[in-house]
Amino acid sequence: MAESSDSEEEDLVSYGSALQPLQEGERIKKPVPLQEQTVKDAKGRYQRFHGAFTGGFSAGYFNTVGTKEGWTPSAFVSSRQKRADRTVLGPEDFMDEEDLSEFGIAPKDITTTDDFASKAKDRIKEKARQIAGVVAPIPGTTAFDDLIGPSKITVGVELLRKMGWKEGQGIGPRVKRKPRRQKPDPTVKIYGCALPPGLSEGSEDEEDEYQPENVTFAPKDVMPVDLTPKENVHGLGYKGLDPSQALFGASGREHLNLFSGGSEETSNLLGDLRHSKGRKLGITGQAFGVGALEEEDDDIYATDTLSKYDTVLKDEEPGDGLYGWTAPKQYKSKNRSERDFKYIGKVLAGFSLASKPSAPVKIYPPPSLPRNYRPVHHFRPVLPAGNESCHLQKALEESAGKLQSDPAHHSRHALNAAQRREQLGETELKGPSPSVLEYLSEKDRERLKQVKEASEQQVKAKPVPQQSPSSRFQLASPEDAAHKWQTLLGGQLANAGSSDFKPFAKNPEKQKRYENFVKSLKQGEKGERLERFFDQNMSEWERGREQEEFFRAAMFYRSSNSTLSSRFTRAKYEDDVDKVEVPRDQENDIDDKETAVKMKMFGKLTRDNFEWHPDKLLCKRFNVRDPYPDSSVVGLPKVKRDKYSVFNFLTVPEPTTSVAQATNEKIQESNSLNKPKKSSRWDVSDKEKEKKDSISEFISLARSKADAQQQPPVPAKEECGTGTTETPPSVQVADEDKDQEEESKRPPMDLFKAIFVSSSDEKSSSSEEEESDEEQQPTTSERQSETTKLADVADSSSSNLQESVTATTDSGIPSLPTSKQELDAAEEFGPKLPPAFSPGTTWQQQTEVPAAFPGPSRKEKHRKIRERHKTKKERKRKKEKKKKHKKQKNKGKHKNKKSEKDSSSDTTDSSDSLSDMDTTGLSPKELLRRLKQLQY
Amino acid sequence: MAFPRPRPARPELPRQRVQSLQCGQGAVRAARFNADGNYCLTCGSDKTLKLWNPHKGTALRTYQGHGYEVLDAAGSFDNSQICSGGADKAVALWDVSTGQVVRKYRGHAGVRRGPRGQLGGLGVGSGEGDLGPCVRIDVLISLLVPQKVNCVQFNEEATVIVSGSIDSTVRCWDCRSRRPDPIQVLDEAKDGISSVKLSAHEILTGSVDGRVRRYDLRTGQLCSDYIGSPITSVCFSKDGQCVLAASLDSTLRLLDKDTGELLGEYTGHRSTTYRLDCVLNELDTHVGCASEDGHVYFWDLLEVSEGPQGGFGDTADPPDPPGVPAGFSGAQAARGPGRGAVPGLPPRPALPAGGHAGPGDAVARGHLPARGGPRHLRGTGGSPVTRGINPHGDPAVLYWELE
Repeated sequence: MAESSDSEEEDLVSYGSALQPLQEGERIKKPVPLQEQTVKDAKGRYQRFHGAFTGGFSAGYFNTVGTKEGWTPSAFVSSRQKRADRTVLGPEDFMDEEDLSEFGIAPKDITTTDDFASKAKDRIKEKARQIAGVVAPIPGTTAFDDLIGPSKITVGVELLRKMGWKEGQGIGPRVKRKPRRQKPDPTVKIYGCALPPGLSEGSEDEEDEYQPENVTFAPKDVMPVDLTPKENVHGLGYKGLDPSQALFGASGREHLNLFSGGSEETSNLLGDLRHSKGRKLGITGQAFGVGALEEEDDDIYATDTLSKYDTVLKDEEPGDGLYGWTAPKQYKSKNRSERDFKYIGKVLAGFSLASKPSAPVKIYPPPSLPRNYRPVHHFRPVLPAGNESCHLQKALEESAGKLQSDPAHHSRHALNAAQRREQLGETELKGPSPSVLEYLSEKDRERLKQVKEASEQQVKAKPVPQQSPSSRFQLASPEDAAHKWQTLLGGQLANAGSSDFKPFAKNPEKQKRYENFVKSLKQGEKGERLERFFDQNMSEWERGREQEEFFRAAMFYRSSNSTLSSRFTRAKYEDDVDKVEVPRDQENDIDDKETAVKMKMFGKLTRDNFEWHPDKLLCKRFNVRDPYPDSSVVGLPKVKRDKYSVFNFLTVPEPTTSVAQATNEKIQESNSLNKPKKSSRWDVSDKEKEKKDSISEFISLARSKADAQQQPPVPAKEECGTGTTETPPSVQVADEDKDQEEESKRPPMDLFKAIFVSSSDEKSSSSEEEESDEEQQPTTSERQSETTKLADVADSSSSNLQESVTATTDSGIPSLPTSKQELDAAEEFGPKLPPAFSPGTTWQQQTEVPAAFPGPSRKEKHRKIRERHKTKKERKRKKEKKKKHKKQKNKGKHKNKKSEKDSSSDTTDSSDSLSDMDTTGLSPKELLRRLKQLQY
Repeated sequence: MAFPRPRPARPELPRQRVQSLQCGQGAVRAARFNADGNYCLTCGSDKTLKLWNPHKGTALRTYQGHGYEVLDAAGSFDNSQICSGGADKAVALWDVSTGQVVRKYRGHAGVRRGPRGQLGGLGVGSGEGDLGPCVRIDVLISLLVPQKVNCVQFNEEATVIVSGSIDSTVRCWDCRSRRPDPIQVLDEAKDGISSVKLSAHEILTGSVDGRVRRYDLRTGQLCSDYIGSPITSVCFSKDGQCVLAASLDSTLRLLDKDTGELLGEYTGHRSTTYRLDCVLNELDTHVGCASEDGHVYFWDLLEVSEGPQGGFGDTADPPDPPGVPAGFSGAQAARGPGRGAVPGLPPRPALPAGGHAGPGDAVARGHLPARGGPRHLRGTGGSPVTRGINPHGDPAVLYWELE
């Protein structure tokens, strides 16, 4: 059992550290009960771990904040009038001050971050990790952590390493170790006891033995002597709390340790003389400065040896260790020592140190200035090399006293910036073309060219007389021209195309052609070869012209210094001073409109339609879809025009206007199409509509036929007042139709359908109301009578059809049987009253149309205009006539009514009828509709 | 077949005066019914706006806040707000119940523009647009007259106020936001705007430059109809198909909305100087207009008038100019507001006839005379004009009712 238990014990895995074995007689400590396990903060306050933050907080009211009641609400401030000062509470507001202190969880002091912190601080951690690594289930895992983990090297260390510093070395220039035995000066008093002789002397001797004299060492890693003057009132040497104390003490200890425990070799290598001396001269203890409460009590009596101080002003001694000295060790043989060991690193394999030092760089002193030298530079005018006026250049140079006969020299100095740039292979300056020409207007340029050309011709007239007279075109044949121009251009060609002279910059293609042209011209190409650079699509004449243009441009080119051109830059944006925004569509001339108004020709003549863009927000507010969702324009679209353009003073309609009108018309058309739908009151069911479709088609067909028949217009209808009564309407209809067709296309079939459908409704709805005055509209009733048969289904027909039918049935034989009621019904809509009238206009037969039109179609519009020319009198006469005619026709049927009407006078006619209508109490829509139809 | 509609009631015209409101506001520049006709607003030249119950004749509230006389007002569809415009160039939005100004829009403070604007375009006096004698006057005017807001309208949902001013612009103000500047400025007019009307998707403006402009928001079109004579008032017919325009050539014109064609012309009244209202009644059977002779004239819509002859009983014009006009509201009444002169002209009549410029008016009970040409109603059976308390206008609004 026991064994097994033992083995079991061995097998057990134990966690944690074992409790200390109880000593005999000791009482078992009662475990502190959970509720009494308290954590206190630095001030003895209980810390409670109920807060939101690490370590919690104790604000005095345990689970509350601030007050007994809990959160203190800040006074409410309405943000309406004044924005409340926003107090954002951060975690800091709920933390104790200890948390904010240096060692709290959120220290407020400035501390070095890891990047800059020295590694010393990490030592504890390091240690812990090492231990952990050993103890860990898999030993050495932490080593792998190191492999993976980012190496945290502070920036300073890294910099130092890059500069050649190595761990443990001091910082500063390398020094030559000059071991100097500091023999105790007999005059100097020595305090303290002497070092044990064996230790110090022996080491010194050994050092001397192997020490190479030519080796430099890194400086020792010591704290620099603080040379700051004393500014405080403390005692001498007292430092309040010296942060470097630890380091200092540590180094001191190290020295001691090294010294005492070091092996021979190390002590050999150390070569530190000071120890021995320090021992002798050591002053122990620090006079002041260690407080009684300081923890580092041991330091109070720490000895500070004088050996740490230099007693003599001298070069710094080499460091104390192997650090910084990596040269091979066995150079006791001093034969090598004469060599100046500048290099102390390891020599790479395959390399050997140079036996001879390289020759030092010679430094030449600056030349001594001549006595009459004045440090001022005079700029000479720069003349382009290829310039024709080399005489001028020479003259200039002569005047400057620098005429050089040496061609090479000359060329070197005569180079202009562009040429030098080319030679040096620099990129050219970004600047606009240097030609002043660019800034001239086209006209001026042309003029200049002409002048130039003329003078040129004069000068070169003699060399170029051999122009072939056989040129077919205005220009000599290209070849000749090329030749001519080549001779003209001469050397100037050399740099004609070379620089950024872009005479045709506005036309990139042309510019390209020009450049090619010039390039080839430079190479001496001629004739057809040059031709290929021109656009093949151009006519020969154009080509010739362009060639000449190119020649001229090339000739005209002066490569001026690009320094000037670089001063200027091309404008990025066009200057729009001379442009103004004007509405795209202008209201047309008022004069026309006034005349139209005087003639009461309202409608097309007086109306202007514009495209108008409502603001998006406005559409939203009106609950209307934005008609132009894509446009950002608001109001009337504007266009830019020249401020002083003639067009600003002319009201010439732009093509866009017509477009807008076209669209407008389209819209209107659709409107008129839709209108019947709007008046849903009069709509019939679809079924009925369909029933009528065929008929309406038939009607329209007939109508078109009638149109064709009556094509010959009979415009002069003056006789209609006295003459035959029957023909005029039809004729006029034909006339109108023709006009209308001239004006626009016929409205689509749907329009007719819509018209018929709605008119039928109208009629049916109002049929009962009208019984009295059918005789006022004789023709209408007549027509109606003819169409009544259709009217049963279609109820009415278009005016045209009616009229045409009327025309055919003029003979008085009604082709269709009429039912009186229907006739009456139809009459109600007959226009009793003419519309506007103006005396003096020609009389035209009033076309009486059944008042079945829901809205004006385009045809009707047209008619309206025409009918404004009627005079009242004539109208009355006409009415009478019609009446008569009607009476004749429908004598039997309408006898009673006719007699009534007969008794009424013409003058009262209208008012009577009006009153009749008044009393009928029609709906407004109907009234308006009728009103519109009155004019037909 | 669809059933024929029952026969509509006979159209009636106001013949009997029901109420006379003594406004005590100086000259009454405008009187407006609210949306349902139960209340009315009067705009006074004493910078106040008054809300009335015209049926009882009680003043309900007075709105003070304009800096100068109030020229037009309109109530919102829900009676919660009122907008008004005045000679102080401001458009104000009022809260009906508190009587406070909710917003004040001051965008109309600009200067009159345009060539005709400079000249005033007010060939008013000479009738036919002859500018000759007017140039001098107008320059004077443009110096003196502030850019009054002649007319204001709410849109259907009272989210936008549309105001027309003598500065020749129509401005659309947003009632929803606090934006001080207008949503959009319709500055196509070349002269002052005398009248603005709105439909669901259209803005109809009449301008002194003799044009009626219709901005269609739905189609994005602007239709401009040239009338020639300065327009004093425009309105839509109730069916929305026609436009009625009153101009200073003493003519009302009924135009087809879509084509601009002339459907009717109504003359017989006098309108040569002042901005007087015109209306169509609820059923579109009659056209009404105020006249400068102090009467309100009605025409049958279909009767194409041939001038004031025939049944025009009373030919004796009162000596004084401005009568004022009317509007129908509901089945009820024509209302008469006293009106200022045409925009650009001083509100006070330039005519010498010592009377008052403002007018009063309104209407009586009774049936419309059976038939005939234009009819007119005289306010107060005699001379509404002579009752004037102050020389600038008739302080009373007369309220006529249909029977």
